[in-house]
Amino acid sequence: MSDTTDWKRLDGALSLGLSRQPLPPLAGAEGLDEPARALAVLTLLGQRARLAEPRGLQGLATGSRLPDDPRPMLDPKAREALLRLDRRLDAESRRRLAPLVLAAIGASGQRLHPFDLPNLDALLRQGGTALGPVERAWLGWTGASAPGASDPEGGAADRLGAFRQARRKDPAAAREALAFSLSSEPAKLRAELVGSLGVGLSPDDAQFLNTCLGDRAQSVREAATALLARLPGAPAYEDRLALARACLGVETKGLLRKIRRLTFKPPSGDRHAAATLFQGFGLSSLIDGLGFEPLELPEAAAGIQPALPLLARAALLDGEPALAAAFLTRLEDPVWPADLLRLPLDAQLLSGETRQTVLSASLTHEVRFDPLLEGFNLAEFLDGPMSRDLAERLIASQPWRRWLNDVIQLVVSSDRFDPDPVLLRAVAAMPWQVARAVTDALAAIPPARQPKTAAYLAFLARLAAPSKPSEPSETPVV
Amino acid sequence: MLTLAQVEAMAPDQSALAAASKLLKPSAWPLLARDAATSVVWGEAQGSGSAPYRLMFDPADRGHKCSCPSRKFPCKHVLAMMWQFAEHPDRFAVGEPEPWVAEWLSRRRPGSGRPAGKPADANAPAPSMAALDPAEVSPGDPASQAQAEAQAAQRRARAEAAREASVTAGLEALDVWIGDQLNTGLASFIQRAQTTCRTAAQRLVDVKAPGLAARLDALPGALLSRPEPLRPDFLLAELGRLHLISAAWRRREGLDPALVDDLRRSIGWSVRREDTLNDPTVPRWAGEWLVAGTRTVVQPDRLRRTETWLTTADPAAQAPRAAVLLDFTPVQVGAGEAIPAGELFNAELAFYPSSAPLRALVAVRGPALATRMAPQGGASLVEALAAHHARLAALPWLGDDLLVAGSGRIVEADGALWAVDPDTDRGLRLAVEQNRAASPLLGLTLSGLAGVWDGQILTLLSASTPHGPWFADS
Repeated sequence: MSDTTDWKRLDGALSLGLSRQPLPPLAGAEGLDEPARALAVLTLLGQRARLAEPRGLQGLATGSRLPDDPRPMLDPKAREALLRLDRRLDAESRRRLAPLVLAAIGASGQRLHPFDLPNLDALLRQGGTALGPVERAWLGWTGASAPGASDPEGGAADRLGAFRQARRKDPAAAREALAFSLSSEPAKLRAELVGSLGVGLSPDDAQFLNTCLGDRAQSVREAATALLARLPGAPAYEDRLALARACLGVETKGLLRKIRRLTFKPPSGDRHAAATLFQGFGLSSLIDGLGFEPLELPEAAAGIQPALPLLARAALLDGEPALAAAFLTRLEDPVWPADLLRLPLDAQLLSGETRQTVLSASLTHEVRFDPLLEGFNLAEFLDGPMSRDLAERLIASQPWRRWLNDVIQLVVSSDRFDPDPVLLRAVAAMPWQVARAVTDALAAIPPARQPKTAAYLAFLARLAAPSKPSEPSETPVV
Repeated sequence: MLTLAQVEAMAPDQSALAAASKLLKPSAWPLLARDAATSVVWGEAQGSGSAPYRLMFDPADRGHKCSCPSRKFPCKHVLAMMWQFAEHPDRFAVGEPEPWVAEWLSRRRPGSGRPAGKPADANAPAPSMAALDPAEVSPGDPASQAQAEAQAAQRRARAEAAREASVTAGLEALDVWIGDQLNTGLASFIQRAQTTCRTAAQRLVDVKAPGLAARLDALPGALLSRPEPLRPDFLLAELGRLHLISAAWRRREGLDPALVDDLRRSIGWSVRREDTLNDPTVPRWAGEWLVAGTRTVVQPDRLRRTETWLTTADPAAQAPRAAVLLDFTPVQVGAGEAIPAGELFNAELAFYPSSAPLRALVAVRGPALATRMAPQGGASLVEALAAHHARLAALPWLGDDLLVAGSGRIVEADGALWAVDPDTDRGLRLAVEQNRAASPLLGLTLSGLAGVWDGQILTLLSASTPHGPWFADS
C-alpha cells in the first residue's frame, strides 16, 4: 500500500459508493468477502487519517498579531471588576457606558488585558473613538474573520466622530478627505458627514457643498442646502439672518429710560420656528446693530425667558461658553444640565473644552436636578468623563445633595422604585478619580438596589487604586 | 388499564418487587403525571441523592426508563410507579409530557418494550406480590441470605449473558448499516446523516449499547460543526472506529483484559464509581495534578457531560501525563461544580482499567496548592502528538485525548488558527469556535499549552504566555 494512488482510489470508491465504483484489489485482503473488505478499507483509511503527521505551515502563516502597546495592562482585580460590570450591563447601559469605561482606562494610563478582549466584545463595539490601537486591531481582525461580526452602526459612529475631530483641527484638510471618500459611504452616513461640515463652516466650503447638491440621496442634498444657507454672503443666509434679527429688539425702561432691555418676538409667536430660525447664527451676528456689548446681554435678556436657551446656543457657536452659561443661569427655574441639553444643538460640533466650560459655568447653587434625571444625558454630551474639577464641584454642590436626598427618599419609601438607571445616568460621566467619593455618597442605598451603578463605581475605584499592574513582560505564574 | 398482575409479570425478580413495595408512599414521589392522549406516565422518585430519579413508562408496549443506576430492568422505581398507577391512578396528574419524557419517547423505537407476562429470566419463579410477606424471607437468616445472594448472582450472570448476546446482534447490524453507507457513498452521507444516524442509534439503545448509540447520535452534529474539507476524513475515522469496536467485540475472547474493559465501556457498560474506587487492582497515581481546563458538552441523551482535564504538574513524573474526570448531570438540573481551570492540587487518582489509561476518579484529594496556573514545560507539540499516536496504537478506538506541550505559537493560516510547533513549523488546527477566544494569543510565544485533540482539531484549554496564563473558559 505504499502507492498513494491506491489510497486515493480506495478513498474515491468509498466516497462515490461501492455500488458505483467497486473497490480495487487490496493486498492482504484477498480472503475477505466484499462487505468485510469494505469495512477493513474504511478502518484503514480512518486510522490513517488519525495517524497523519501534523501539517507543515511554512510560509502559510499570515503573521497576524495584535500590535504592541507599552502601557501596563489592568491589574487582575480591575480586570475582574470590569468583567463583572460588563456582565451586569444591558444593551442600553452598555452603549452609554462603553466609551466612558474605555476613556477612563485610557485616562488612567492603563490598557485592557488582551485576553479580555473576546469577553468584552460587546463593550468594545460600543467604544467609538475611545478604543485603543490593540482593541481596534482586534475588532478589525474579528470583523474580517467572523462573518456578521462587524457592526456597521459602530463603524459609522467611529468614522463620524473621527471626521468631526479632524474638522475641528483642520477644516480644509478634513473637507478634502471627505470629498475623496464620500461617494463610497452609505447615504445615511453621507448626510451626517456633510452635516458635520457645520464645524468650522466657512465660505471655502461652498464649492464642495454645491457639488453635494447633486448627490443621489435627498438627505445629503438637504444637509448641503442647510449649510449653504448658513454661509455668510449666500442669499439664503442673508434672508434668514434678517428674519432672525427681526425677532430681537430693544426697549428702554426706568424713569430715565436708561435701562435697556432686549425684546424677543418670535415669528408668528412660534418659539419652535424661532429655534430653527436662529440655528447656525453666532451671537455676534444676531445682536449686530442693537448696541449691546456681549457681556451686557445676559442681564438685558433676563426678561425674555424663551429666548435665553437660543442666545446661549448662539454664544456657544461664537466660542463663548461662559457667556452661554450666563444666559442659562438667568433662567427662572434652571435645571442642570438639562436646559443646555434641550437646546436644539448638535453637541458633537462643539469642542470638548467648550462643553466642559459651559457645564462648569452653569452649575450654580440655584440650579436643580430633574428628580429622575429624564433627559440627563451628560455623558453623551461630554463624549467622555467630565473633568475632575467639575466632578468634585458637582458632588460637593447643594443641588447634587438635594437630588441625592430625593432619590434616597424614593428608595426608602418604595421597594418598587428602581434607582439603578437614575443613579447610573448621574454617575456615568464621573471620572475615575472621584469614584470613591461618589460611592461614599451613595452608601445609603444598598448595592442590591443599584447593581449596575455599584459595579461601575467599583471598577472606577479599582482604576483609581491599581494593586499591581500586570506588565506586558510578566512571566507566567507556573 | 394496567393491572397488578401485569406489574407482577414485569418484575425481574421477587426482590425488585419487594423493594418497590417500600416506595409506595406518595411522599417519596415529588412528581407523578400522565399524558391523557398517549397514556404515558412519568414521575420523579426521591432517592438518596439530592436530585430525584426520573422515570417514565409507556403502558402501550411496557417500555420504560429510569435514571437510577440499577441494573434491574425494570428497576424498583418503575415497578413502584406502575404499581401506583394500577392502584391509584388518581395520584397521577394529567398534563403534557415533560421535555425529558418527550425526548425519551422520540428516541424510542415503537414496540421496543418487553411484552407483559415475559420476565427476563424464564426459569425463575414468577415474582408475586403475594410473596411479599416479610416472614417468608428472613433477613436475619444467613442461609437464606446466602441462597438469595447466589440466586441473585445467577440472575445477574444470565442477564449479563442476555445483554452480551443482544449487543452481539446489535453490532452485527451496525456493521451492516455501515456497509450500507459505504455502498451508497460517503459523499452523500451528510445529507442523510441526521435521519439515518438517529435510526441506527435507536437500534443500539434497544440492544443495550448506549455508549455507541450516543457516539452515533452525536456524529451528524460533530460532522457539520467542522470545516467542510475536514469532513471526509472525520467521517472515515468515526465510522472506522465504530467498526473497530464492533470487530473487537467479536474477538474479545482473545484480547487483553484492559482492552476488553475499554471495549465494554465504549459500548455502554457502566462502571459504578464506588466499584472503581474500591477496586485495589485499578492503577492509581498520587501527585500534583493541574486542571488544564474543563469542557461541558450536552449529549443527545440530554445529559450534560463535564470533562475536567488534568495533567501532571511535573512533566517528568512517572505517571500518565493526562487524566480526565467525567461528570454527568441531567441538563435540567444545571451544571455541577467542576474544579476550576488552573487549580493545582495534590491528589491520588484511580484510573479506570484501560490499555491507554485516561479516565480517572479522584480517590483522595488534598487542598489546592495554587490557582490560575497554566501548563508549562515538557515535550514539543510534535512529540506530544507522537505520544498520542502511541496511545492510539494501544487503544485503536481512542477518542479525545489531552495533548500537553512545552512550547508553541498560535498563527493564522489558511483561514484558521493553528497551534504550531516552533521548531518544525508543523501545526494542529484549532477549533473554529475558538477563533475569537484564542485570537489574543496570535503571535505570542507560548511556554506551555494544553488542548484536547480529537484526531483533527485541537481545542485549546490553557497556555502559558508572556501576558500570563490563558484559559479557554475565562
